[in-house]
Amino acid sequence: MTRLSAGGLIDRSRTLAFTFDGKSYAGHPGDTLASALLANGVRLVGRSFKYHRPRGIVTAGSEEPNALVELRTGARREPNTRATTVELFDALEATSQNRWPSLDFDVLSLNRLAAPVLGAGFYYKTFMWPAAFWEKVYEPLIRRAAGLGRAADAPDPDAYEKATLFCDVLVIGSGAAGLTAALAAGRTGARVVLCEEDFRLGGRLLSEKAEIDGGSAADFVTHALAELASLPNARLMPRTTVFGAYDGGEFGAVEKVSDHLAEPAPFQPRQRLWRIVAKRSVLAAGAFDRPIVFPGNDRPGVMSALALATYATRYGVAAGARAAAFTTNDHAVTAVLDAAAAGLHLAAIVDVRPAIAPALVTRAQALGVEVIPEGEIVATAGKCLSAVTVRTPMGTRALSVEALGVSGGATPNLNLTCHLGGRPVWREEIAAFVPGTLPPGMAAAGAAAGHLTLGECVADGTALGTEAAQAAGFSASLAPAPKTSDAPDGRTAFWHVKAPGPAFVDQQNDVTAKDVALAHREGFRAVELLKRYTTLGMATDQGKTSNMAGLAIMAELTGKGIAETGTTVFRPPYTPVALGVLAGHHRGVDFKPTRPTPTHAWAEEQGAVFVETGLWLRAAWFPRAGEDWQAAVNREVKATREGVGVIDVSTFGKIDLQGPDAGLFLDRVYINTFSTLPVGKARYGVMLREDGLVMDDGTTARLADGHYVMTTTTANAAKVFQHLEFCLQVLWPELDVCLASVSEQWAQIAVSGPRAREVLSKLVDGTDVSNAGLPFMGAVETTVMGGVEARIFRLSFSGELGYEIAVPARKGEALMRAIMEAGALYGITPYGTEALGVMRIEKGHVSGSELSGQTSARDLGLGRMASTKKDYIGRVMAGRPAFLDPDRPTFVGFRPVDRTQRLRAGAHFLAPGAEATTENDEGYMTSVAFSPTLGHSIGLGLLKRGPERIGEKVRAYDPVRGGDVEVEVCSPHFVDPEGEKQRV
Amino acid sequence: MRITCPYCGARSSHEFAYLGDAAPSRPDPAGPEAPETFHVYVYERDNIAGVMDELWYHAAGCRRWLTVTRDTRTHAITAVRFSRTEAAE
Amino acid sequence: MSDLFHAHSPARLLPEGDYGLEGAAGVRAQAVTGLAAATLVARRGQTAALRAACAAAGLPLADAPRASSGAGLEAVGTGPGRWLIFAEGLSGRELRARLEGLSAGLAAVTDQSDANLVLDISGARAREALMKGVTVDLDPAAFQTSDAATTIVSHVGVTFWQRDAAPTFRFVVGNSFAPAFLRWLGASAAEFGFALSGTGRG
Repeated sequence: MTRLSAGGLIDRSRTLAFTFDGKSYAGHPGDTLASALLANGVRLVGRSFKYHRPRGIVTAGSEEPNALVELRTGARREPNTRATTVELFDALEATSQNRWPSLDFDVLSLNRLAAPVLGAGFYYKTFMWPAAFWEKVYEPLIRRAAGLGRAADAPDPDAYEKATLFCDVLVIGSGAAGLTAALAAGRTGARVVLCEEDFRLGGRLLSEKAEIDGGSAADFVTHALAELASLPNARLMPRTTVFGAYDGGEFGAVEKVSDHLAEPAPFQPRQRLWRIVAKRSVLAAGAFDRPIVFPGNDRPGVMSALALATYATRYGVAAGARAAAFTTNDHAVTAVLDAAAAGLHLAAIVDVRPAIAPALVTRAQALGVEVIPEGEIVATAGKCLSAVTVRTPMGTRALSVEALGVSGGATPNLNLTCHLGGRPVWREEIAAFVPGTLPPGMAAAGAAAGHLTLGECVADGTALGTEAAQAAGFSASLAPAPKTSDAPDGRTAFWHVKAPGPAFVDQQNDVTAKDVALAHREGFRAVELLKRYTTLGMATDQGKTSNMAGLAIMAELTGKGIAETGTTVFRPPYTPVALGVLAGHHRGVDFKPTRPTPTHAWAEEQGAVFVETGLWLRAAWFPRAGEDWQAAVNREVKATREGVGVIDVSTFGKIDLQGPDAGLFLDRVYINTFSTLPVGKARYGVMLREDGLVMDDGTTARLADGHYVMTTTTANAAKVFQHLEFCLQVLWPELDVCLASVSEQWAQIAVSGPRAREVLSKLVDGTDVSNAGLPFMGAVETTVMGGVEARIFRLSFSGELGYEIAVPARKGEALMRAIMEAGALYGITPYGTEALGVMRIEKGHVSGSELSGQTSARDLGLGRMASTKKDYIGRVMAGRPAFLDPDRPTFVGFRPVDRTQRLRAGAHFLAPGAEATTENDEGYMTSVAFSPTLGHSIGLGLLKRGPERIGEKVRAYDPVRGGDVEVEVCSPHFVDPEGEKQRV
Repeated sequence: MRITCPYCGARSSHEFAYLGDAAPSRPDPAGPEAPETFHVYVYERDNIAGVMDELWYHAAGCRRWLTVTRDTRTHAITAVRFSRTEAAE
Repeated sequence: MSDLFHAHSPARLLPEGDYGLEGAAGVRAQAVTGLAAATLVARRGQTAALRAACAAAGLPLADAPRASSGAGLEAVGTGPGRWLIFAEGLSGRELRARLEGLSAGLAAVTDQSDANLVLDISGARAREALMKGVTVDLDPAAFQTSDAATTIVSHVGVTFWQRDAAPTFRFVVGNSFAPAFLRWLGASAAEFGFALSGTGRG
């Protein structure tokens, strides 16, 4: 055990049991998985991505490149979880990944022996040839070797949700700068949201030993949080990572509501996605401790100096029985001395500088820590670290240590400042990139802005929090910032120890200093090319800790300096985000809304089989005992054609148009004329897009002089409404027309078949529905079922005598039941969308497959409907020569020469004997059905010069499904071509 | 991105449908050059890097077509107005 | 929370009952019946005249997303020159006739009495539940009694307004989208305890 005997923000009175790779360990509340593993002496936690090198814990935060584990088991198994951010809970199960058969002995670690050939660009250079090898050999090989953890293979049993939050000031990070910013803004009355990715608020202050306002940093945190908690206008959000900054002051954040529990509490989500809309924001995300690149720097036990200190001070853990530090700056030296004061056995501090501040030397001596100036670590030893070699001007010597804390200085965490295109700028004084152009409304405070001392952080936070509140419209004056006891920070820029041996720049993607040098030699010198060529910074950690050293080494090689070399930028998300939380509530049956028709419950009772059409759930057919779908559909079609059938057609879009210009308006949006339509009549209309192609079709009825009601196809209801609003508001604002969607208001039921009139006559309240009283294409407003408002349209999609009866939606089910009762005598048969489709194909009516967005009215045989006496949307472009080309595939019908053969939609037409080439393509089949009326398969399609070729034979060639059927070109009107049945 | 609808207030851009450049106006269909002018109207658009007027439809809100002045480089929106002028309301 | 409602058809309204956390419900939803509804759309250039005519008849109309009431009617602004009007105790036909009388040719009136599910959502935790889908700021500082919004919630278009400071929000949801809306609301309110009434026993 390496738990220190006292100290740390852990609850030692309680013990949490957990397992790692099946072995049992114990930790305490307040631990992370990483701190608990270290407390149990577990230093080897994973294998690297490419070389499968043994790796240990490097950081104490979300920037962790190495310690990725699988968490939980079964359906809740979650790969690639950073052990440094996992809050320990009782019975937690974690597993190492990227190793086989075990973490300790990993077969693929043999890759290390091949490291000389697995360098940067290896994949580009190797898996090039022969091309045929790619799919069969290379890709499976790479896929097996690559990847880190395994995703769960069962559905995630947990729930996720999304929520939106509005605030005046969003503060990101709860360290010294974040807390003071939140306090300053909160005190003005501004709505403040403080997001902290850690489960405990306080950031670096949780391991800070300097004083604030004469008290401990810990006390300052306690008081600040108590004050913020007391403000009704402040919201504290621990376990919440702001992962992206977006336009207009929107931020994305993930709250890990239940990740610290074995499973979520009842009715609680696992995670919650927040969209935060902030008038102003303060980025106080701190800084990362920067690694130094030196041979053997990836050995388990080598970690960030600040992490080494944090494990000792915050978690009461010694990361090794004996430790040393390798530093370039006073901040890290102070931190590791704090750790030594907390009980860590710190043998030595190796600092690259010729001298460090005398006060620090004095303190080190008092703690029994040797200070080695002008020192560099040139080698490490052990599977897990057992010794390091120190090189000084006096020579080299070995230090026997199990942990080495490394700090090359601070890299401001400016990730979010880049999300809207901001480019970091180099600040030579601190040898770091700081935020450049910030997203509008954002200010960067404290270490994130390169203001690295505690004093600067609290001053920044206080000032920027106040300014943010002021900018959001709150009045406040700047209060004095808290006083801090920290000393000025000294540092030197140092990146890379020049000594032999593999020295890692990016530990997660196994990029070494040699790879950077190779990229330089091969000309990939721009930072963007360096990144892609070596994969530096392209792992799941996005190179938070590694990018800087990589580009510093490149800058050294090119001799250009870092400012000129520049840096790559960051994109969202800051840390990986689970797809589940992005989906939220919308999964499974809730993936999208399900829209039932008004008669859904009735259809369920009838045993309907339903089909999703867009969002709608419609009855597809109504099988009887022993029937398959084909038998059911055949029966429904025959029953309708010979007797009477009924179907709910409420899903059509319905639009109410009122106003004196309604007729004129319709003339401009349809190719045919509606201003001359008499009151009480309906007409089929075709609508084009301005490019001349068909947008939609449907019938529109005139109910009164200035009152029409339009129907659209189910699929295009919203699109047509938007189009009509565009025409009215943008194209012709002078027209006096009012639109209202009535799609939800009216249920509409079609009754079709030779007996339809008899059924209808039993429902109407005395309305004359005779052929004279309500002729074909007539429309009447009346009542049915004893006083229920209704609109009856004599329309036919099936080709039979037909009526569509519309009643207020809540009466829809009652109407259906009344129709069924009225029709019982005639054997009325409910039919679904399948039979509807068969009957419209038999009649040669176009539908979705023909209204494909690639067909003109002329292509569909509807060209003669177009008025030549007026302008309408799409008229000019429909007259383009290409659209008038007689060779354009045009709408006709098809039947198999051998009537027993089945046709398939999608088959392409070829002249008999023509080779199946694109040049010989003459069009394609759009819709097919088995016609129970004719007893064979029939099809509709678009054929070059189709109407001129009636009677000709062509091939319907379908190479995808192996179809090759000889078909005869025929009229698309298979049944009742003269349309007599619908007019009786 | 957020768009401040003159009627509904600031809303997420998810509520709006985008059409594109607001500048082209429907040519005279009876004009002698109608085939050419309509071709330009339907197909030809400048790819503007900078401030432009765009048409957006507040599909999930007040169902108004809006003319939005937006900098395509920064997504900064400086003005939003109803495409149909108030006089017509 | 897909699991919560696995026994309920996504095509049916969630039946009345208590869902989620046991104990006093933090969120209540009550389906409101017996309301007639209509859209009132000012004819071109007639918005001001229509508002004046309605105000004279006792129904003030805000040309803004706000609710107002008078003359036994409740009006909610859904767009410039466009309102949803509700009346208790009238039939759709009666409401249409009244509005046609009130507006005297200045507006188009369209019956919507059967178009929507009207749902009153209230309770101490109502705002927290609604935040999970409503992307409009519902903080009392930003959204108060009479304020209204037409927006999209969980892929479902809605109009809603605040009726009192309790707070009670009245939501108007297209009938065919009502089952999906209730599933979202139930999932969002479950952690606070959710009591649903007026949707039948399923």
